[in-house]
Amino acid sequence: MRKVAIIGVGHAKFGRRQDVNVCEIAFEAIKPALEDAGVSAKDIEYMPVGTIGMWYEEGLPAVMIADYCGISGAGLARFEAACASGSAAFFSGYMAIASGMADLVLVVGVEKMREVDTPTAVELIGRAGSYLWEFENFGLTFPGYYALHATAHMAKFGTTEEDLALVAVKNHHYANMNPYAHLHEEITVEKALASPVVAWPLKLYDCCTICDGAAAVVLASEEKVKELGIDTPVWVAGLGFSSDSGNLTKRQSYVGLMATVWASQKAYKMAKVGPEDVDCATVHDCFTIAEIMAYEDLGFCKKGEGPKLIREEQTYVGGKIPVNMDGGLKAKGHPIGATGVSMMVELTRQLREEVEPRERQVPMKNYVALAHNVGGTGHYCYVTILRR
Amino acid sequence: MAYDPASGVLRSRTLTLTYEIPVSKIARFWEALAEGKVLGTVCKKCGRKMFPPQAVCDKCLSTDVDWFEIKSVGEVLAFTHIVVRPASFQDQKVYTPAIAEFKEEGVRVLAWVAPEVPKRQIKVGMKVRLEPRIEDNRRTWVFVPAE
Repeated sequence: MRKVAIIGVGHAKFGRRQDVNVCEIAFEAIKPALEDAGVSAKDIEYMPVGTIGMWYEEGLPAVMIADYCGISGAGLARFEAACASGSAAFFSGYMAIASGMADLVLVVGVEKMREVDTPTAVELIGRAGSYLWEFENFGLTFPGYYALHATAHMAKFGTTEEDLALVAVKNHHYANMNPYAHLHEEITVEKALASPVVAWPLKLYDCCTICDGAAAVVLASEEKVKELGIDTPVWVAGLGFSSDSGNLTKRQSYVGLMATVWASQKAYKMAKVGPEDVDCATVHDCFTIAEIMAYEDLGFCKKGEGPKLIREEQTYVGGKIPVNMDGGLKAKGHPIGATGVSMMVELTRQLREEVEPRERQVPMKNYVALAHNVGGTGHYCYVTILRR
Repeated sequence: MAYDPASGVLRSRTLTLTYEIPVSKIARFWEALAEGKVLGTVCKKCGRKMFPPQAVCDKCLSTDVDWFEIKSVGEVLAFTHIVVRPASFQDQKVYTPAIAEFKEEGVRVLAWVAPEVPKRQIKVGMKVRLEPRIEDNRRTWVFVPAE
């Protein structure tokens, strides 16, 4: 296996983007990523695209994006791993270089979710589970899936609605400083608790936004890094993947996601690090309860102690393990296929120590960062560890 | 080409999708609902019990499975009240999916807590039984309080 580095990153503004179609928003991420790497579109050998589609008009988005951005001719494929589609595409790009099949790869994550109305979007995401046994008769929604975990976590560990709100307050705080984030609004615990119920106990401010967005990273082999004279390559140190049953009735428990535990163990082993070595992390906080479970399942604290970590503000910059310094899915936004790639963009900038404003920059000790990307409700999971 | 200059968008052609889902291999499950029973499948080779029922064992891949009824008292492990509803559930009031464990049969089931059960009564740990319901030829199953 060859070493693989991230040498360029680009990020579109997340939000309700009625001004652009899927190709146009992808361009907003692709052009800066190519410029950052110092390569041109025609140099790209392979472009995996993480996207779900359905809520936008194009049936073959990878082909249309490549055509719009001058990448036609490169190998193309679309990747679906629900909300972890971006990481699945990233993994494919990593493998193309690690195996020796390519030297320069562009990984794109993109979604245009706001071309359909909200009930339709809620329906399409709700069907991302076991259609016949969970949706046909029971109409489970994505917030509903995580709310089931919230009630189980609350019953077992005494986690409160206030604890959940604290996660939202933190992530809104950082999103407010991130120019690419969907929401620019500081909130309070009181405001979060007073917001309308979506799927009890989750309220509006416990939920990520349904939005449009795109992110892109350029991956290169070690030879290519030397040839291009890249001064701050960010290396892929570890990668782990896993999955769990598509029927919640077959899961071990509802207070965590085993797919996260299994994927992170693989990634830690490959990178030869432990959770204590990680300087900062982007975790899959599609809902506030998801961030609390991620702290526990990734080993940042023991099972059941996630609420304590946020109460003590240990996941703020300056704390024991800063988490979601970009605002997370919660407030930066969660354009499904873009999310995994967006995490790589943020961590690359963190590891290069170039984040602005500086209040968002994590002080680096080991130069190790972790991205945790879940598909569905722990249906898929990818954990990626980066190192400078 | 429905171009709307005010919003800068073009409204596409409309596509309506309805799937015809094959259920012939587990037809017994859907028929048993009309007899007042909720069934799972059990592998005759390794003894693995499955809910949702399936025609093959998900553990040893044997195709020799039998049916069993889930009729004991279960315990609610998790639940939620869905307020923001999908497009095809817009005509429903707030509903409550839950997951209950049936230790006697060795399976867990996902279903709504019956709509007539007061929301305040629904808790993790609540004891429930399964009850099939058929309305307008739509076959489903719900949890009803066991006490």
